[in-house]
Amino acid sequence: MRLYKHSLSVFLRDRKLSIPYHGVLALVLVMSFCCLGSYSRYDDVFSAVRWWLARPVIFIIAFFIYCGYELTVRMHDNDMVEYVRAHTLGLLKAYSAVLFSLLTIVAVPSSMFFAFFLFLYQRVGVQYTPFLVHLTKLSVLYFGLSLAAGAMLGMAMAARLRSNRLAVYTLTTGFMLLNTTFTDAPFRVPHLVFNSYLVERALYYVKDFLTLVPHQLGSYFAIYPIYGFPMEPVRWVVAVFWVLFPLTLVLVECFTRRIRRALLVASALLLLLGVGLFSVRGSVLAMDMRNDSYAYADPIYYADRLRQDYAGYEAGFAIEAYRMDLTVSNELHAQVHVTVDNPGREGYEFTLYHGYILKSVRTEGGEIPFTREGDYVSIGGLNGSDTLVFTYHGKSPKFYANAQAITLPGYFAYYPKAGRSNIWDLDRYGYVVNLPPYESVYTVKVRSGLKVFCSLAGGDNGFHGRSNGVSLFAGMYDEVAHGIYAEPMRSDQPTRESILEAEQILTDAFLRVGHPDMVIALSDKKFLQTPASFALNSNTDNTVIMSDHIVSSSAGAQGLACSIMTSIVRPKSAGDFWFRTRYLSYLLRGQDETSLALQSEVDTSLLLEEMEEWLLLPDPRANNMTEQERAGYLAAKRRRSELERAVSEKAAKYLFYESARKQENLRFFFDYFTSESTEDCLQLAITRVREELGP
Amino acid sequence: MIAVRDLCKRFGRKEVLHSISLSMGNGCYGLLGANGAGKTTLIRCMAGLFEPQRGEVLYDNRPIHRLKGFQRDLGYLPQAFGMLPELTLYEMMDYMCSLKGIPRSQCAGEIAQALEFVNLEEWARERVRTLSGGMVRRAGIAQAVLGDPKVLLLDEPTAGLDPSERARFRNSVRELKRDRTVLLSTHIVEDVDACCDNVIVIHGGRILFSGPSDELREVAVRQAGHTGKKPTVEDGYLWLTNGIA
Repeated sequence: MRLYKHSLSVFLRDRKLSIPYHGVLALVLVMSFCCLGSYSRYDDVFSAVRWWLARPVIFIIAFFIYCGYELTVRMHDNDMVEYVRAHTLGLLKAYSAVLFSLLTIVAVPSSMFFAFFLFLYQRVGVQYTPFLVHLTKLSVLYFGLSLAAGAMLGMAMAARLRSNRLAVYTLTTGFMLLNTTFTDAPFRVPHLVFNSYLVERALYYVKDFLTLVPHQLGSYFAIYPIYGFPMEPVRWVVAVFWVLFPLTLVLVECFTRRIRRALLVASALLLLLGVGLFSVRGSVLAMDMRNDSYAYADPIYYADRLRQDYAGYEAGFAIEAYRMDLTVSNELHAQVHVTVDNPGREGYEFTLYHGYILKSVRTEGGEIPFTREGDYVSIGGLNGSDTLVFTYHGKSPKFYANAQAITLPGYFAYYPKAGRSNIWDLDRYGYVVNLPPYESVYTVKVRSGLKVFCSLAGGDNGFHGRSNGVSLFAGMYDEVAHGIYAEPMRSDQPTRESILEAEQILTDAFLRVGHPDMVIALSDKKFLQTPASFALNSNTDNTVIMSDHIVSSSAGAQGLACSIMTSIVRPKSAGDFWFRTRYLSYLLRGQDETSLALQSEVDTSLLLEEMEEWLLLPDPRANNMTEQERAGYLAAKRRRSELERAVSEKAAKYLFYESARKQENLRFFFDYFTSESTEDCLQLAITRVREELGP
Repeated sequence: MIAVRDLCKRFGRKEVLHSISLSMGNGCYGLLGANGAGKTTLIRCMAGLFEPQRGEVLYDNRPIHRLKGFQRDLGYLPQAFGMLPELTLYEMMDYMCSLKGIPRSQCAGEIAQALEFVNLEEWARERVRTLSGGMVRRAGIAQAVLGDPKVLLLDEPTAGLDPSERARFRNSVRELKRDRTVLLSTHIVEDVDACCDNVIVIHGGRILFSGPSDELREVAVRQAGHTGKKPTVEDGYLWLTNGIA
């Protein structure tokens, strides 16, 4: 106790330590005020905490490395170690005193952060205990253990490197850089320059192992409410490792002979354990530039592979029933019983996302051979059985399932689906919505520490029902209204009223285009809001309607109606973006009547002129050009792009807003967009306008 | 009381101590040797800071690494000694008392006695950073005598002390040596001459001489012949080491 008191006195009396320390405490207050200000202004608690607290915390960690080092190295600088060691457990006592002093000085800002989070919880005013638990865990992991790990690293460097400040501060700088996204650029070089995916993985492996602040300085990825800040079990393992491992290195210095050897063995075992646990980390949200990351993994994976089009593929069998036993721990572990309607076939094809490692396929008669080819599983006959048991485990970078959250939408092949279907659409840059045209009977049991919300009926993580797809969500997720599931911390939650309104907008639109058969009863289905992050790397699955439920990232009536209609009114080519967008707006009566564009009528003569020009303007090609030709090419390209937008918007306004035949036009283009026609959209619009306006 | 038996210490390939054997009872022992002779290594081995490759250090006929109480009975002043400059001298002594396991109730008395011993009692409330180099050295001696140790290993204790302080130190050692073993490693042969009853001369990691200081003086007289001048330990030491050279 006396040693601790004297150690703390040294810290507080040394101006090189105490003045910056008090500065850091003041900084914590400033950061907290800024965070509060940001929250008050933008009403986004995760964004405020990310910007003002989580990202800059690496500087505070670096400061505690400095404190840990400078306070410990004092014994070496002042030639104390030799005579301290001459006493029974002298160095251990002295280092323990330093350790407890450091923990004390770390505890002060940590407590301030924790107090601020409690205040923030009160201020946010949402009575949602998982959010409070999340904030508490956040303060312990990001602002407690991380700071303690910093102090421990400093202490270990003092014990091992003594007064070699150059080495210590070089290591600290390297450590800091690894905890930011500034290392992304050099780490991507192996893949971009040498196409070495393995080296990139190895570099990021090391980086991840040294990452104390999972949401790094420089990261532009948002924090999504369902997941919150990354705090998967492996993050705790890493944080605890970086507290304990340096501690063993310090302790090694305190003993001689056998205990020293035992401690060295213990630290080596700890290192092995840390690396071992880290290696089986499973599904972790990687929000950075790497090839394996949330946003890029699938686009890169599918872009690198031979393009295969399975549109219209006939499986030749249907799946009558699924019995799914899922365990969600560090990743998804599944045993899925599949009952097929046609057990006499010679072979069966299934689609299962390539991230899931298929261990075995069994029937009642035992294991049967299978071949795996990316997302596809091929098996032979079932030997009289009609049920197959797939056992697999693994992860998807985007549709994660881990101890922190689950987002597994029914259209994604996280369980075997009949036949072959594409998972990613390279042309449309998004996931393919894979839904069978029939319903199956599902019995789903999920073993997880999380409360799981499912599109099927049930509770206590057990669900049963009929559908053409099963969606599972968990994390900071809840039933916010009857039959409506969303992230409680999200400001744009769907409501029963907004869903009813969207249904009315769609019904009106379907009736206008003469398709009452297509009216969708949205309010009869469960509504599961998907995280906004779903749109990060895909523009195809904003809203997906399954037979018993809807998954959508939209919340407002107009947005929801628009995204549903977007999934029906499919684009024909990239060039029809402006025309199709305007079409949807007029179809759903979503146009802004107060906008200047709608205050005046379309100058039809100018429109016809622009149409003529657009039609005559060649689509420029960029091959083998001189400088002069290149300048001309760029000017022509720009002009064509300008005209494309202007003609699209004006033609759409004329055809669907001003024309006396606007209902007919709406119907005509609805049939066009939902048909297999390959005509160019804008050409068709121009023809239509010319027909109306005459020669 | 403390003995060294067949002690060998190597650093890498370099053997610094060659099969050293010594035995010391109560009294003051002067350890003399040139730079690099192995004095500090020997003292560190005796303090239990270095593990020898061969041989052992015995305290009360038991190896020190198996003896839990040895370090409690040891007072050690290393060649390089420093203190935490942010603490006061008293706090630093209290820090050392705590390391030595001296009960809190006894600390104040122990510290006062130790500081008085080195004539620093008036500086007790001053920060260590305000002390001169000589004062820090005296504080080092004070911390070594805290807790009334039975064995005192002092490595260059008088380095940096002014003549009056050295004289005071010599007198103090005469007091200390009555009921304990004091091993004094030094370059300053006068200190050994003044306060040590026994001398150990080490050269190149080997003991050249170990015995009463009078015997070393006798060696000098025998070898140089009677010159009329009173023989000193220095004469004996110089003859021994020059003979080797």
